[in-house]
Amino acid sequence: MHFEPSPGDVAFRADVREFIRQHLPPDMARRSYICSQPPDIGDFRRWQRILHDRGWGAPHWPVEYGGTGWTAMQRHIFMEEIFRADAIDYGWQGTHMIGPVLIAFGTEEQRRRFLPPMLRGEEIWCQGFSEPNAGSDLASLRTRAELAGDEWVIHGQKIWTSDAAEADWGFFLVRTDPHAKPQRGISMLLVPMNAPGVRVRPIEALNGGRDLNEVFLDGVRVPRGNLVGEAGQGWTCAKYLLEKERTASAYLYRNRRELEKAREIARAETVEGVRLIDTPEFARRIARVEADLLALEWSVLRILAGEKNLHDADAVVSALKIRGAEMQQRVAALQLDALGPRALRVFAQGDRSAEVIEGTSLWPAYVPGRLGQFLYARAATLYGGTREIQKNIIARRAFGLGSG
Amino acid sequence: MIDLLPSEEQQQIIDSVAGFLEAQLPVTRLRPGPDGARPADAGLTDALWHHIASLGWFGLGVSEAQGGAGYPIVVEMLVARELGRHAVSPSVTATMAAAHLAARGGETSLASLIGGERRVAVANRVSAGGDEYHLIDGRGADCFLILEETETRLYHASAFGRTRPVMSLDDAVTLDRADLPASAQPLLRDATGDIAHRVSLLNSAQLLGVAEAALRLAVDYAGAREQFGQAIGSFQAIKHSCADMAVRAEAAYAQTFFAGLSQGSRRPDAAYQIAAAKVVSADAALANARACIQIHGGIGFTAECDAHVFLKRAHLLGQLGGERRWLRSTLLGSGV
Ligand SMILES: Cc1cc2nc3c(=O)[nH]c(=O)nc-3n(C[C@H](O)[C@H](O)[C@H](O)COP(=O)(O)OP(=O)(O)OC[C@H]3O[C@@H](n4cnc5c(N)ncnc54)[C@H](O)[C@@H]3O)c2cc1C
Repeated sequence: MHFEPSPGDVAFRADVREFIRQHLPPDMARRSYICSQPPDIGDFRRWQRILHDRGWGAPHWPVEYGGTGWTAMQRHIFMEEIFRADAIDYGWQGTHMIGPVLIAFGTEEQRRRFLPPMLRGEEIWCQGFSEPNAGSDLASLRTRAELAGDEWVIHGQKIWTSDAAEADWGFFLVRTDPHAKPQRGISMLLVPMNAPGVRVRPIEALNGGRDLNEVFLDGVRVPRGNLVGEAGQGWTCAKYLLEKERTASAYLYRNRRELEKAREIARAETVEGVRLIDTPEFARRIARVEADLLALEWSVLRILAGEKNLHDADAVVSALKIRGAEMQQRVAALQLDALGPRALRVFAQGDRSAEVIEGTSLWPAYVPGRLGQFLYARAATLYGGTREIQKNIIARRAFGLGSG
Repeated sequence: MIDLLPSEEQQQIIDSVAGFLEAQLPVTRLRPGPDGARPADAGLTDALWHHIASLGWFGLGVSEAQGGAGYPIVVEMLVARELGRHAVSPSVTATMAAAHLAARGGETSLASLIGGERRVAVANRVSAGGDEYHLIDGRGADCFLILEETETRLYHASAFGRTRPVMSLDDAVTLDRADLPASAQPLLRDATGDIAHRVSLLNSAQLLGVAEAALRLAVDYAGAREQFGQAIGSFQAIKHSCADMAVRAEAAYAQTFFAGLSQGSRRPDAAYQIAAAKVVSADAALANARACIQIHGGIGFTAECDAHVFLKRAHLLGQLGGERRWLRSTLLGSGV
């Protein structure tokens, strides 16, 4: 194991930092400091374009499709710098999920059609997997597609589709063979969200957010060529994609930045004249999370570096997901406790008033986003496969325990 | 042995309070309507306030000689627990506590509090030493009750200036910022700790109600929702999570009602028991609300499911009536 930054890494970090300093619009950084999750779609598009122009639109992709060919350490440094500067975390459903799937399973034509606009931040994607009755048990999904001539005709309903209202395209899991074993009968289709028969209904989240949706597919027709891989290969594609999602789902960089904010709050807030950070109880709580964060960092670096693990790779990835998700919740709770009774008040997600953006002495800029994050963090142990499902995977893949 | 279970008479009171709230203020009232809006006053209209007064809730613990029902504090707590279950405005318990404050001072306002003509709401200081307060469900309130450490004060609403609305984390209450000048004189105050203890116990009882309601909702869902061809409640992860919730609720119940009894019998360690009840019940409410969301999966993250109501109410009540930091020092100072 060799994780010491080389002189080249140090220069690389300086490079990245300088680029971000010059190109990250300050108003965007401010918004993302206040509330980074979920990012403003307009900001996301702008920032993705800026990164792409520098050749950094999807550092983890193979070079021939627009990746950077960076080492694991460089990718790590890049993400650290992104979050340190309050820049935007890049495209989840796009460059993180469907991009790698198209690179691995798509046709050359699909790659040429879809990857460039994804890199430029011009086309936003959504992920249509979950259904009302197929959440954890995804393989029981019922949305179906049939070939009619040169077109797939899709009928069914998806739910919890993040960003469906803004998305230009969605990748959907559909049942194409009702007679095959559940997993085998599933295929992945690319669907333009403005196609006739697609209807999106937003669902209000507990934090007032409106990025979750129901998607109704009522006789939607897409060309035969919108199938990813082969018919019946959808489950394999989805597994590949969720693995990619979970590696990033350690939320390492986000967690580090949010813990830094917790420290910032604890340095500013006082109890009976003593800075919160100087009280033994709070200092101890921060140190405890920091210790777990360090451990998470080493685990992520090991995966980035492609190191062999003691256990099955799926189990390790699930372990990271659990750790990273729970840490988001712990850090949010820490921030909230540090805010004390101020934390009865929330701020609207899109609030751009001077009071929010600049802060006041009683309501410093570190206050407004924290409660939203506290609520949003509840989702961290749900999306991308719930915590309980991840534990089942660990037990099964690492130890062969149970079938669940 | 002490008996923490309600007597037959107390059980009748619980049943009637629970029945009334279930009919008039079910938690489902807080769901967004088709237009996304929630009911004004979270359903607690003036008419309902008067109805509650006519049921005698505001004077439950006040002596019969002073126009109340003369019940011990635990009966008020049993009502508060039901209020917590239904996420009813903390103004109800604030008014119950204010009635005691008025009764001690032999105040003429007592009758109007018990009778429902005067409404008391909670004011909570935003940051130590500052003049700014959060008024919780304060619109239309005549007075505000402030609890700080062991002191309780009641102010006329006009004592607050520069009131401006803000968004509340718990969207089942309204929230306003307002300034209370240092020169403002309270109508009533109590520095003996007696009223402060009552307020704290009523908050703990509401938190207990929140913890129990979250448990109920989670268990019901675990029995109804199916994945992999079976109820999710048949998976051990879910079963155990429900069991953990029950363990927390039981602990909160035992400590909260023991603290209530110790206040009633003026045990020397009552302050300690009451602080412990607040810590245990607040933790139970928060943890159970979180677990309830987790057990619901995606639907638990929405405003259409009631689980979030309990998370937000647990958070709100946990912040009221004494900061956790102060509670800890009470625990450390008098317990060991
Ligand atoms: C903010 C957010 C964003 C999301 N974005 C997307 C998206 O973009 N696209 C998409 O397709 N989906 C998305 N999802 C959906 C998410 O993947 C599902 O919510 C998740 O898979 C759980 O499914 P469910 O909601 O149906 O819960 P259920 O599967 O009904 O689970 C309910 C509870 O039962 C437990 N459970 C279920 N089965 C078992 C078992 N075998 N053993 C133990 N416990 C079990 C679960 O852990 C959970 O606690 C999103 C969800 C959230 C909250």
